[in-house]
Amino acid sequence: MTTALAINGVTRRYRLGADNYVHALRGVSLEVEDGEMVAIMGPSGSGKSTLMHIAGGLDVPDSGEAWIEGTRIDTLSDRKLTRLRSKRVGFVFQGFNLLHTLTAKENVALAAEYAGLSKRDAAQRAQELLGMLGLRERIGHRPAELSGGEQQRVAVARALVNDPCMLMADEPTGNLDSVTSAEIMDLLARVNVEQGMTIVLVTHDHGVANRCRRLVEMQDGLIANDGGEQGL
Amino acid sequence: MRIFRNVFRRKMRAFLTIFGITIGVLALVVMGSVAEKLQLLVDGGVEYYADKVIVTDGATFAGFGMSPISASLVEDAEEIEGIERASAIINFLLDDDVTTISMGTPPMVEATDFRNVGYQDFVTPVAQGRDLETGDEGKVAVGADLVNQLGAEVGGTVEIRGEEFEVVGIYARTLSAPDAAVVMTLEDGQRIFLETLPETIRENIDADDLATSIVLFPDEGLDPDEMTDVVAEELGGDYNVQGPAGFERFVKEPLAIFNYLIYTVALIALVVGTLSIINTMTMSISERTREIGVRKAIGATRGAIMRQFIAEAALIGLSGGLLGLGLGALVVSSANASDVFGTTQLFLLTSRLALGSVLFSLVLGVLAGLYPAWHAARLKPVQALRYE
Ligand SMILES: Nc1ncnc2c1ncn2[C@@H]1O[C@H](COP(=O)(O)OP(=O)(O)OP(=O)(O)O)[C@@H](O)[C@H]1O
Ligand SMILES: [Mg+2]
Repeated sequence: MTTALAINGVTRRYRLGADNYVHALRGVSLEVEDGEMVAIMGPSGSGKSTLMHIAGGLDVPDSGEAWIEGTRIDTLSDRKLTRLRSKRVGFVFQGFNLLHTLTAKENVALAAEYAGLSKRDAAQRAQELLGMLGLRERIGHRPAELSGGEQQRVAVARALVNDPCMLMADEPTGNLDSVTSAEIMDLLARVNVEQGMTIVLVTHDHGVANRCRRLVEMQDGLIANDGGEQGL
Repeated sequence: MRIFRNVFRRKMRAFLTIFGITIGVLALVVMGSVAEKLQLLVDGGVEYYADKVIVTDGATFAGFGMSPISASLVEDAEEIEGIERASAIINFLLDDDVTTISMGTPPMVEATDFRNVGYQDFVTPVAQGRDLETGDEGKVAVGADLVNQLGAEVGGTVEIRGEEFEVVGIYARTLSAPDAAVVMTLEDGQRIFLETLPETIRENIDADDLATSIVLFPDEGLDPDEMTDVVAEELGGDYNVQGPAGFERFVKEPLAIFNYLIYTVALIALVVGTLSIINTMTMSISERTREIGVRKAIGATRGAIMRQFIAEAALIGLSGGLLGLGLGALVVSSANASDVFGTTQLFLLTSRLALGSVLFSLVLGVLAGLYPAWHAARLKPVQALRYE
């Protein structure tokens, strides 16, 4: 098995005032193998989102290293990092974060256009993917016309449109009821099993965490417990 | 178009910003049309005055003579060494009602002895009928701008200062002074002009000897400007003697300054409009910080974000420009059609002015978008995503 993701002694602090810092990460190391599905849990403010942002190349650490599929990303230029992120990492957020002026299809296609696909190819790819995720009837709708579960499925489609090697989801079910949460988890599990997609997700929900084979618990900017393979 | 949807997301704000540019471009188009027309009038004047020396009464300004002088000066002038030909002219206002508001050139009557024919380079082409000739007493030829005002048609009659005249020809539009002139014979002009003079003067003047300016054509190869001193000396008396340089000094140069002023006012209006684009784009970007974060998270490079916001600002500029041009064209054509500004066509919307104003508003939009777009492109994705 190859390593999809490696974090090595990463620290990240935020400056609040003159001599006043919040230490969001105090030296975190984590490796995720290809095809794993990992849940990260922990109290609010323990650094879960910060860790995920650094691992996915949205943020850079103050010290330590971050690697994606054997490429060191914390030293890349903004432009190269953007390219790599757009091709290799898909993000799903708690608040869906769809662009509300665009239709479902346009939202998905936009990510493909940013990765360099032509408008036509991007639109076609978006249409196929939304169809596969059961949203064929919804492709022309704006986010405001979709339910939370549908919006999150569109967001998953957007995350998958460039065939990334890794999907990062920050509380993907945080805004959904338990039935819809289960649907989204079914979808993620299916992508993980059928496509061998590496998935890292942050959650507060034990039910959601239990669907993942590995549980990482964070506390106060450190990894408190790395469960490895969880028995279900 | 996605850019449209983004710009018109806040409809009121988008329209207000666009109107800011619209007003600037409207000012540019309308005032620029005046400047373009005046420029043509002046170009026409430069061409008209290029080959002659003009003698007027000493009390008149810069060779624009409407005070009486003696027509017999023609003979004296032709005696002068270096002067080949002289011609007597009478100019007076077409309307005796001096309260009529008139911008540009007021409608004029020009009465001529035809002695300039064949010597003068500046010839007004005829559109219908024929040009006026020697012996055409009781007849006139009418400038293009005056056709409607006088109800002129070839073969018909028009009334000028209470007298009926037969129309023999209508001049083609030159976009300069002759458009607002009626041409008649010197004899007819002398009779009418005499009536306009105060009674005390009238008694001492012989109608046959009446003129308002004498036009002198120097010998081939002589510079009219260099003849003015000789002419003034030879004629003696109190005369105003002007060559082409006089026209440039008294009309062309002041007009250039007037044009700068006109364009400066319009440009100031546009700069204000541009500032409001910058303001709108800055507000829009701070409202859309989260959107920018999402776009970056899903793969937008700095360049892509820059392009998006510059395109939005450019669209605002372009819409304002097109709207301003449309409104300006409307104002210009209805002002030309009405006689609020007198009968002469005061405005001329040239294609270079139209194209220039729209292009200019587009460029201003792009410039106005640069800073806000750069600011947006520089946002860190995580900061932008956490922004509420
Ligand atoms: N931009 C920032 N400026 C200052 N402090 C920040 C910033 N971003 C995060 N923090 C702080 O860093 C710490 C870790 O934040 P992070 O968002 O990673 O926590 P989290 O585990 O995801 O919490 P939650 O479960 O509430 O999402 C918190 O104390 C947070 O307040
Ligand atoms: Mg978080």
